[in-house]
Amino acid sequence: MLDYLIHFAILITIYSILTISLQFSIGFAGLLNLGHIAFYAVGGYSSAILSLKGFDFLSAIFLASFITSFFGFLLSFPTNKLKGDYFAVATMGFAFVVYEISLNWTALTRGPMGLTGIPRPEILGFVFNLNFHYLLLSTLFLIFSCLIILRLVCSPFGKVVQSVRDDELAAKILGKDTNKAKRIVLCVSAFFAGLSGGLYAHYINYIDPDSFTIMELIPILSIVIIGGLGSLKGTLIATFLLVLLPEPLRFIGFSSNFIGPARQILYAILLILILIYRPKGFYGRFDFK
Amino acid sequence: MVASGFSLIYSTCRFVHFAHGATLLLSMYFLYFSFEVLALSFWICSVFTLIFSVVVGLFMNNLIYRQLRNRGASNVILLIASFALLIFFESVVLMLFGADVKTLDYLKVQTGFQLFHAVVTPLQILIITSAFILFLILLLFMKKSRLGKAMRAVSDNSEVAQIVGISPEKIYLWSFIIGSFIAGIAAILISLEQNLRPMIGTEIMVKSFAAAIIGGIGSVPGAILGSFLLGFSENYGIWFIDSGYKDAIGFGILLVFLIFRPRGILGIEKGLGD
Amino acid sequence: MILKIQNVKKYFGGVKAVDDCSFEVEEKKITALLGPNGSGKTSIFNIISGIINVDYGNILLNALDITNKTPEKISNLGISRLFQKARLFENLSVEDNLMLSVNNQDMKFFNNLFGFNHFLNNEKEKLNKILKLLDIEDLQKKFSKELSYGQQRLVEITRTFLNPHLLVLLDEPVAGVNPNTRDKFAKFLLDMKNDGESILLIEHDMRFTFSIADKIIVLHEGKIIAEGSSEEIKNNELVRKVYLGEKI
Repeated sequence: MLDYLIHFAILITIYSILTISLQFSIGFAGLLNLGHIAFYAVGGYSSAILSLKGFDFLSAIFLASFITSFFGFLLSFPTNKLKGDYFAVATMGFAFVVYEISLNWTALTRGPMGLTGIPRPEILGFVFNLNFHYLLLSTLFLIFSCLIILRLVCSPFGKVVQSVRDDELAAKILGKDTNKAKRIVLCVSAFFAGLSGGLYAHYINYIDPDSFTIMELIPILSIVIIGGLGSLKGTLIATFLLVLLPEPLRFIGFSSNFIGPARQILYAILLILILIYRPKGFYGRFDFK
Repeated sequence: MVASGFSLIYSTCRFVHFAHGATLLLSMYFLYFSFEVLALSFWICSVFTLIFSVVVGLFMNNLIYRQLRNRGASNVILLIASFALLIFFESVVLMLFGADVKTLDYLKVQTGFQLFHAVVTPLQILIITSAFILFLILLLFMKKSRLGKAMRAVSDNSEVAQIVGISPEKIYLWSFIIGSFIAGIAAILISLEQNLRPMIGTEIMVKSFAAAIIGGIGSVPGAILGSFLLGFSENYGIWFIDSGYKDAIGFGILLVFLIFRPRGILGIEKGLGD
Repeated sequence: MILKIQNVKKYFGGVKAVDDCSFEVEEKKITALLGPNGSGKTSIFNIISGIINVDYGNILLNALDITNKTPEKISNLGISRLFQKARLFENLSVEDNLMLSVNNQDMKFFNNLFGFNHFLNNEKEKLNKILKLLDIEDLQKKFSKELSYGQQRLVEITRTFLNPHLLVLLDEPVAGVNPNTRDKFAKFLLDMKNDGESILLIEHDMRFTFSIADKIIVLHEGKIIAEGSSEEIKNNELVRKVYLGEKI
């Protein structure tokens, strides 16, 4: 039972990093990035490949985060001028491209077979084999990510980002290079998504393209919106609750074939309900424009 | 064809109706279920499928989208809701029918003939012809009929249309009926040609969206043009690159269009300005 | 002169929004654009601030060509603008709204990340002074969407003047504002002029415009039909004709 709880707590910390990075982009910059899951994938794959090639854990995961960040940088070029739904769909297209590459570039990713044997982290000779130790590590990463994002959000730069969300043209008229601001936001949010992807890969020790399909976006998107746009606290609480939510299904003893889709159904219904009845989410201050 | 139904809905309702893919998916599985499991005659099944697809479209419009619109939700919220609907129905299908591939054995696999280095089956010819005819009817409908004109009025400016006495809600309803009906036809044709799997809704949807953007979003002829362009480039592209990258090629083209000509080939500059 | 518009043309489809306009804005003066709706005033503003590109012609800011530059570049070169409709960042506090306009240090990502922004303390003092001056100190922690329209306008005008600039463009600053506040604005603008500000103004309210403008340019259907001091414009036949029915 305790093992199970620890497993759970680890998943929550990893997920939290992913959801706050998406919150940063959706809630603060107003960039509805439906390709966020692709960043998660890039981070997971890069970190896995790097460590399988012999890099040690810390350099692998941080390098992977920077690689992911670079992907964010690249994505900003076609999407920088797009607004609202166009941006959403273009980023979603990006997620499909990444998915296909992970499926087909077998020399690098071993395609549908996935990458196995991703080592557990080792820092200064200490191997995080025990899940409890891994939990400490992932919590540390979560705190690190929260602090950085909080720091950014509260800094003057964060205000620029939020001004872009509220009224991009007015921000331009005040002399802000809004394209640059959006580009940085994508890079930062990709960085943390990559970080969480890396943590996931090193924890599960195995990744395949199906861990990163567009379906997987629904849970994180639901969390961000249910938690409330522009609220980091809301996101963290919502991550906790929503990751927990489908678990009773497992105890009732449904097969995993059933649980997978049931989980998606649950999240999708929740998301639609919240959009209809409480579009601000639970801790959000505002609605989508 | 999917792209044109989708484009129709987009042009009047101004939001990205991802769940159009769900309409398609549900219709295909409905056809499969009634034909293979209930063993009804194919033509009866087809008629029921068309009715069914319209019902699905209406269900989504009236139960979900109308609620959201009444609340004054923006098109971005509608997009998210629609995405959630797509995933919802996809998961339902996955749960009921399982992840394995289903085939519809109505027409025997035919040997195709060579055309421009590509193998074409008579069925594909049928699909292309019916798509073309449908497209002409749709175009005629939009240009000539009163409803078609009203739709274009709403798509131009729903507030002004409302002032001159056209009820946008009614128009939204009709675009959903027609759009979903077209999706029903597409569902029948596609299930004749391809295998059924739960992901097919998303796959086709995203592709038609790409086609719609490339062709110029909100323009029905543009959507058709975009679909052909996309189809050709994907199928010829895989001569040069691995066939697994078929979709990636499509999206590569999409991204190129987004950088250099975001309004698409025939589109107007909407969704780009404030 | 500080701003020079030379033979600017802008067509939207077949409509001539701005048709061969040329005029100059003098330093430390208030210049006003007057004209009925759709006469091209806001189009000219959009052209100057870089929101729309011209089809023909040049815009010079202190002899520097700023034609068709991006809005943020033009802003950084010294043109600050107020929009016709309230465009505050509604989910930010009044203070944040104003701080954003002060300078562009906030764009430096790594400085912000690692916390080297003590320079802001000076700016904060400057800000508090202005808030006191306008008597809106108590608003600074409020979210801008909680303010009344008049208050929003006031904050927005403050923001426009705080943004480092050589020239200020004001698009209907007093539209929809009560007469009391209107007089306050008039006094404020005159004070600003005496402090050495150069202002280009669009305003529908004739009384307001005539009372403060040094030079008035009258537009009709994208063309300039008259140019001169308040007195000259009041007595201009053509202007009277265009404004037939409206009292001057």
